[in-house]
Amino acid sequence: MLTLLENVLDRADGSYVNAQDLRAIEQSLSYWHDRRDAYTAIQINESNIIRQAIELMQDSDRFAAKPINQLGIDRCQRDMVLGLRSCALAMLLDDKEVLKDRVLYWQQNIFQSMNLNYQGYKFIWQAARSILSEKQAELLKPYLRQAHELMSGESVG
Amino acid sequence: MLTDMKREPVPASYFNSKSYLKSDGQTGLLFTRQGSRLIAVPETLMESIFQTLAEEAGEASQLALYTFGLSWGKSFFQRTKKELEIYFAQPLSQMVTADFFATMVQAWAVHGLGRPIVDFSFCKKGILIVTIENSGISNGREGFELEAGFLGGWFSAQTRQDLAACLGDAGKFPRRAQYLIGGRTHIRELEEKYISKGKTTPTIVSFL
Repeated sequence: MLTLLENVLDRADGSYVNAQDLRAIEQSLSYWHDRRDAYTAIQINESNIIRQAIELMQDSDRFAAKPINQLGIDRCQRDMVLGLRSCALAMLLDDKEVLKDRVLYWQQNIFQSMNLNYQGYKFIWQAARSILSEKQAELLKPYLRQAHELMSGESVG
Repeated sequence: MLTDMKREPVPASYFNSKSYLKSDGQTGLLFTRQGSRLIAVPETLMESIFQTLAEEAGEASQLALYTFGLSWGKSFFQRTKKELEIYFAQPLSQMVTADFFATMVQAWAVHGLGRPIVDFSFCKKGILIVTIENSGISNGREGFELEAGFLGGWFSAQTRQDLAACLGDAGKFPRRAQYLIGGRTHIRELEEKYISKGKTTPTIVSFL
């Protein structure tokens, strides 16, 4: 919505907001209460979601042969908390662009420089799906998917 | 009430342009999220500095630009360091290397200095290769000495060693300039042995 509103401001420069833009704003606002509920649920359940996502990560194939150490876990936890909060905020504001500009490009640079195919957002999604209601999880899904695709270079069908 | 839940913030992505740049139309100031003043430098000013200095000082202009870049790069690093230490509430030395270099890329980007790509492949031979794409300091024809100084200054300040930099290669499409960074005497030696004879990065690294 932030990106939408910025674009609307630019297009309405010295004039009025056009009908199409007004509809787009109304469309976005019509889901506000659902997004707000999902946002609240994520905030209440943050520690559960993160704990479960960390467990899923520790049990994954990648760490089957060599378990991850405490430093790695702390680091992953920080990345996941940041990732979950950023996606939740982008969901609340209905804005994928703002997520990329503010956090994802930076995070992508980090994982690329480490040559790491980062899977954290996949585990966050699996945890969120089992903890949140279906409706809440579905609202969050596109943002987690976008983040996952950017970090891992994999596209999700 | 949920909105009052206390959460420890996770600091990240300090230099993203959406959060970093602020401007105030009333006072005419452009400033950073911590309040340091910024000024946009037009390309015409940069070009006129290169041209005027070349006309006035000839060959000596190259050394002048390098020295100028050296102190600019050092102070740019110091400002970046200071701001990051306030934001992350920890000394820069404790920052994870990958985070630091991603943040450096963002710092360059938000100041319009282009995109730096740091290559550590020849680190063990004492050389760091840094490629700047879409530079805001050099322009594909001139300004390489200024940018070399800038990088030499940045990495000298970062490593607290007396480092120097020189241009190893440059291309116009896409616009990129590649610099070799290392100990001062090492770089001067490479300049004398190879660069003055027209050799570029791939040849030079094969002799390292």
